[in-house]
Amino acid sequence: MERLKSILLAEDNHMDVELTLEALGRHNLANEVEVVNDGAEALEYLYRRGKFSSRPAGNPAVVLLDIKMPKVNGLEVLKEIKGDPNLKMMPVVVLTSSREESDLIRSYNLGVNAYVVKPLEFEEFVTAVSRLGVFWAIINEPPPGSSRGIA
Amino acid sequence: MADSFKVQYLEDAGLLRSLIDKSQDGMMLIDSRGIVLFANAAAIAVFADRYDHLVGARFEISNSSDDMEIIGPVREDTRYFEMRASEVRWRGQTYNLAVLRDITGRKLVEQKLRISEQNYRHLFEHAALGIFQVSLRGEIKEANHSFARMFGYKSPQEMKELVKKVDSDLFADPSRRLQNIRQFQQNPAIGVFENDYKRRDGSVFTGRAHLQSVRDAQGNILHIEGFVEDISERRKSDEALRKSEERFSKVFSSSPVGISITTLSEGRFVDANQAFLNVYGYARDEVVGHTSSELKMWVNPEVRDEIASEIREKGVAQEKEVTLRMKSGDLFTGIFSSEIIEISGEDCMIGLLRDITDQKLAYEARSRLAVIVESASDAILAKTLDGVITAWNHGAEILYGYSTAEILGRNIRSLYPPEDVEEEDAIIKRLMNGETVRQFESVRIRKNGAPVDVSLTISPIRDVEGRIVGVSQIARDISERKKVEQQIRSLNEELEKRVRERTAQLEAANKELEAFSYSVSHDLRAPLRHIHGYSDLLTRSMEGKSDEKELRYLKYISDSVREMGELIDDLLAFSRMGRIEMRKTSVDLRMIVEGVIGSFGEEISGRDIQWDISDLPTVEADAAMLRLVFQNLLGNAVKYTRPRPKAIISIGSEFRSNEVIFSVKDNGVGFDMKYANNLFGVFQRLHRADEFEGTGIGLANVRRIIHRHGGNTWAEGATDHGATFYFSLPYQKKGQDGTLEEHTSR
Repeated sequence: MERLKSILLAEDNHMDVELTLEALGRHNLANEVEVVNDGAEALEYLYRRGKFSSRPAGNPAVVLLDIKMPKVNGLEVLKEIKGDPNLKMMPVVVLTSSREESDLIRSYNLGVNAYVVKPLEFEEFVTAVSRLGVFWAIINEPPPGSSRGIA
Repeated sequence: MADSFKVQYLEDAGLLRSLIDKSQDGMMLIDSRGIVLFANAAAIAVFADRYDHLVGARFEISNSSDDMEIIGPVREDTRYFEMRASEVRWRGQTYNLAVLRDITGRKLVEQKLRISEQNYRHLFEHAALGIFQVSLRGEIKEANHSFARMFGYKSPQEMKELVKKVDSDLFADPSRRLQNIRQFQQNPAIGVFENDYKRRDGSVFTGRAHLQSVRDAQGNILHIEGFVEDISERRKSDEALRKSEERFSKVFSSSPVGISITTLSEGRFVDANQAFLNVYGYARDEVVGHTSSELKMWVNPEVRDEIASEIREKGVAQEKEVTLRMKSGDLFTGIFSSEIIEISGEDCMIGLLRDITDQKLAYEARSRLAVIVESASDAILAKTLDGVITAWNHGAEILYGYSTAEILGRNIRSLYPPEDVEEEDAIIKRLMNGETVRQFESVRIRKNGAPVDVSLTISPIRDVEGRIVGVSQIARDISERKKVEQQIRSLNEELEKRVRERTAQLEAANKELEAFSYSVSHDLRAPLRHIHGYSDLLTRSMEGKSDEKELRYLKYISDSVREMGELIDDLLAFSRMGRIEMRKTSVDLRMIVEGVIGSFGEEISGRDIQWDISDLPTVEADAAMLRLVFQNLLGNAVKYTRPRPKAIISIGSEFRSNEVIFSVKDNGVGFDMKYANNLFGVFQRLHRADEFEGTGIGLANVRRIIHRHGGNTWAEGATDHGATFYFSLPYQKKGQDGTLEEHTSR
């Protein structure tokens, strides 16, 4: 089996975090997930600032990004990532409750790699999230410089 | 026998005496002293007045002459006698026998001849004609004064002395004389020759020589005589006359005034010029030789007779206004002037005709215009380029308050508000560029000082050459209109202000709505998802431990969450439908309908549904939205026919004047018409969810879409007897690509 690559989950709601990790865990994908609770923290993590200043270098294999978050929202984080030469190759998947057209357009304009609406029904939610995890953390070959988790 | 008679009768003194007495010639015997011894009766008669007794009277007789005349009147009428005396000797004495013969007749003839000769000589000497006699060789034999002067010589004597040979001295071309003579010899009938002659000073004149020849018995010319007239002047005047005639002829033919020459008596055309023919529309030969009455030119022939008699009396008739008939039969008015002129011994009238129909029509038109102008309610005035008012109608009196008499001659600037006077210069400048200023709105000051709003139309007035010489100005009082306009303007402003306020409110509301639906989209769904997620997790963790009732509760929670989710999704979709931009394209509705029917999978499996789809046009619309409309309407039809063993669903369209109406009819459960109004409301349902599923948002969406396309929705139905849903879309018959007609005729 391929070595699991790391996933950054930016999600402010702890229930969503729990349900997402539950979904990933059902497919043994939860081990290498780093959770940040808002956009600002996501950026600190990516730029290895603040409490993440000591984390080892390397970008996650994928960022699962919620849009509606306190401080810095997901779209601003996306913009920052895609505007940074060192980060822009890193895959970003928007994972959100909304299918608002304006969000879709802005996300794709900013260069998002995928846009997934969280299904209402839990079974579907689990399926969607676990497929995402399998694809980005296992199947997809990340750009050079991505950090590898420990299997 | 004679001798014997002679002897016998001469012896008879009586007979002799008787013979002497009866003799017509007078006989007298005069002695040597001159005393008359005897006189016969004839002699006594001759001298009866002078001598009472001739016998015994004394006569002087000159012996030398055998012819002597007794001159002088011997009686009251002068008679001439010739007296011839001869000596006779009788008885040793010498006597004179005088015989008197009456020669009065011969004398008179001689006298007349002398006078005639004198006269001719006089004529010769003093004639104005130059008379000459020239030898064949060319020497002047005779010449009169005129001839000498004609050639520049003082006298005939001088001429004879100086002119040796006429050929070279008097002819400009010396060979001419011989040519003349040769011609003359060959044909004596030709007696007139024109030559250029040379004067003494060398100058040349043209003369006409009338020649006569004096010939010998053999017919040879001895000398030439005749006279010469200087025709240079006549030549000149002939030329002048010819030119004048030519000029007249030119004037006649090219004059723009119609000229005709007709006989005075019957009006027969002798000639007519082109202008005349043009006026009438005749060709020249249709007129010349015909009379005006044949041609029916005079509408009133008696007018022609009047003119003719006036010409007969005064020689002229001037400026008569007459009505005449053209070839076409049309009438025209002309001014006719005529004079008498004699042509080939016949009195004719030469007439000048001016067509004044146009002038007259123009005059009439002008009069009509003048009436219109005067009675117009608009203020009409004319002014010079400097602004001096030259015309002022009744409308102007009313509008401005000045009477015509007051204002004429005053400057237009006195009607301007003082601060606007330069406006006049600007207007004049535009007019001088040939522009007409139309509907120019401005303010003028009335006589009473009150301002008045006017709308002005100002045009240049041009003279015949097109130069702008003045200005006409029509003014209309627009105070009332201005007032109304002002009201409208303030109303509009008020309205616009309100619209702006409303729009701002609406925009704010819209923004709020957008923010609201955004929040709903993000925040309302998350808790539902959590409820669902955790109830699911709970179900799992209680697996094997929970009873059937608990599981049912958990299922209800899940169902409610799902339902809530659908409601939220529908509401958001509905809200979005009101806000998203429409993208209109040509939409083939048949394809839309067929696509929608094809998308029904599960819902219609195992169902017996008859689809009746009639011709559907192509319309300009947002394809996605129309797809949604048909999804809803056809979905409803499928849903509400579910209790029927066989569903019949018909989709049709019908054209009205400027819209097309679509219908979706089914044979389903229908509805009570009293609830028809609720059908298209949000979350309005006529059935329970356990009868027919649904959120009640579909028809609301249909209505919103159709409204956004400018159409309408309505429905007809009856409980248990099916329903028909209608919507209309506006359309222009001449659409961009005409697809509408094409499809309907298919």
